[in-house]
Amino acid sequence: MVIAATAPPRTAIGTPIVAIRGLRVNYGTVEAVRGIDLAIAHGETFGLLGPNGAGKTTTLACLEGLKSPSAGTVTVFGEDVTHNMAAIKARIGVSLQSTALFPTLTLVELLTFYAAMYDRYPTRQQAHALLDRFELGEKANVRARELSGGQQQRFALALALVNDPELVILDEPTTGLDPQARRNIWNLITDLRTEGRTILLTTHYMEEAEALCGRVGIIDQGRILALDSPRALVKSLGDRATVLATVELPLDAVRYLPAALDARYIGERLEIPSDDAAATSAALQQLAQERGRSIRDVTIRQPNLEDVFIALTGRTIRS
Amino acid sequence: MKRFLTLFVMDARMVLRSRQAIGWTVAFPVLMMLFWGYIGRGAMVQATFGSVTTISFAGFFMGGMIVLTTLSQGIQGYAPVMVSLREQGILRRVRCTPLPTWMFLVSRLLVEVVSTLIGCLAIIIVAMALFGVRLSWRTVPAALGLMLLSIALFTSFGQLIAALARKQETARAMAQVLAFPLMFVGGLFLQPDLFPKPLATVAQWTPAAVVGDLLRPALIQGNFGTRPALNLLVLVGYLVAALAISTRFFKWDEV
Repeated sequence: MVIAATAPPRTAIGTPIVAIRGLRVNYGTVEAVRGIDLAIAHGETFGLLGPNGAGKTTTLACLEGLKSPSAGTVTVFGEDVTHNMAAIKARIGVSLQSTALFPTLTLVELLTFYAAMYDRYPTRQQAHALLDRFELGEKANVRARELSGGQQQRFALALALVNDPELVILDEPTTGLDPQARRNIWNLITDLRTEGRTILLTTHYMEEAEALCGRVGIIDQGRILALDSPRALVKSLGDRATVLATVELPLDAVRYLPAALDARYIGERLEIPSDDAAATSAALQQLAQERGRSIRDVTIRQPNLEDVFIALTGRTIRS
Repeated sequence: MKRFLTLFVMDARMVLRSRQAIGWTVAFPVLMMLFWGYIGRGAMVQATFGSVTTISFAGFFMGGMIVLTTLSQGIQGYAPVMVSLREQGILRRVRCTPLPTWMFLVSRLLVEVVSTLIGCLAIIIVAMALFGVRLSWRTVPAALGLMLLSIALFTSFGQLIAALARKQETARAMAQVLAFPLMFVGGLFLQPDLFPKPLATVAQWTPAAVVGDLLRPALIQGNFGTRPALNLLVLVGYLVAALAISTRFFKWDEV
């Protein structure tokens, strides 16, 4: 870890670090964020979950000093982002959606370069230690453009820690990575949480939000639709579960099965959200039999955040 | 200061690792000086817009090559790189740090100035050592100042393009469209008396022509031509206008 030349003031666990009130952000005539209220306490891992274009990155941009709010207030560490952004930036670490590295510098040089931007000067040993932590020690003298996608994301995380930040902001840290690389990043983020850092991340992966976040804000079309722990959000759906099966049946017939709330095909798989999955499942199999259709792989999936998103918006996050 | 030095060293490393940058800033001008100096050895030409003076072809070409180096480096070298940094999101990432943006820009500009000056000095050394060009030492410090002004001027044009172009390809095209006419009508390599009168009337006030009009005599004749004050004023005017427009329109982000 990079040793701070002057240690940043530390915040007590549970103290609000981020406070957003009535945030609105416009790009010309387009309103990307339409009145967000949000508070994040020190030590939390908070996730903004939503589809592309929901307003996640724009919200982060206000916290990072990249975009000014059109209306509302945003404070970080008690400082207003429109007034004292330099002081805020010194205490936050950022990993943007694109890794954005100077391609011809080596990893050690990039750490030195970015550390200098925070007025910090790690020794070579400290830089190597930080790279080792992200399993990039062997790549210390390799140029950034030669890294794989997963290595670039890991390095982006290392860069986000170069100033030993209290708040780490990660914008879609695992987008485009294979499952193994994604798991690696999850472990690293979990380590950051263990160290007591506050983490604010955005994602459109439900399982990522469930695995990492203590609280989740579901965001769509510039508004936060629900805000709670993943478990509480899922619990709010009650007994709802989803019946899954591989079968060819008209959706109009399936929608009227007992307790069925809706029906849709994701690829070849039929998905039926239901208030009584056992009854829906039995009725589905009977319907298939009556129509002479083969049915296989019938399972019942317990509700997850995807179902919460569907219940709130009427569509899947992928659409 | 330590912060600025670290930034400068890293920026310099990036330039040193770019074969393209080294090639265009140092190797190409030196090769051109060698080639054309050899072709035109012993020849004399009439030079400059402001005053008709006869000088050696090598001296004439040296002045033109220096202006061309500052022009191509400032416009064609700087603009696409800045737009590329923006396109890749690197400028956005830098803005997430508490580094003052002026410090980031000044560090890059200083590297630009140093590398371009090295290219200019290499041209002078070749011209003196191989083609017998003699510098007027009395006005060399002023000539050095003019080279710096020329670098600043053309880099400000590059910054202007970076402010107006969204894509790297657009920046490259705009740089070509701006640089080539400036190069050809600026009398850098063609003697001004070859131009038709209406073209010469306009061309004499184009940036490269004005720089050449001041720099050539300062390097080898010990004076600044016939209208130094007016020429300087014109250059400063161009510089201020380019900086004002680029400051107004430059964006750190693509959005």
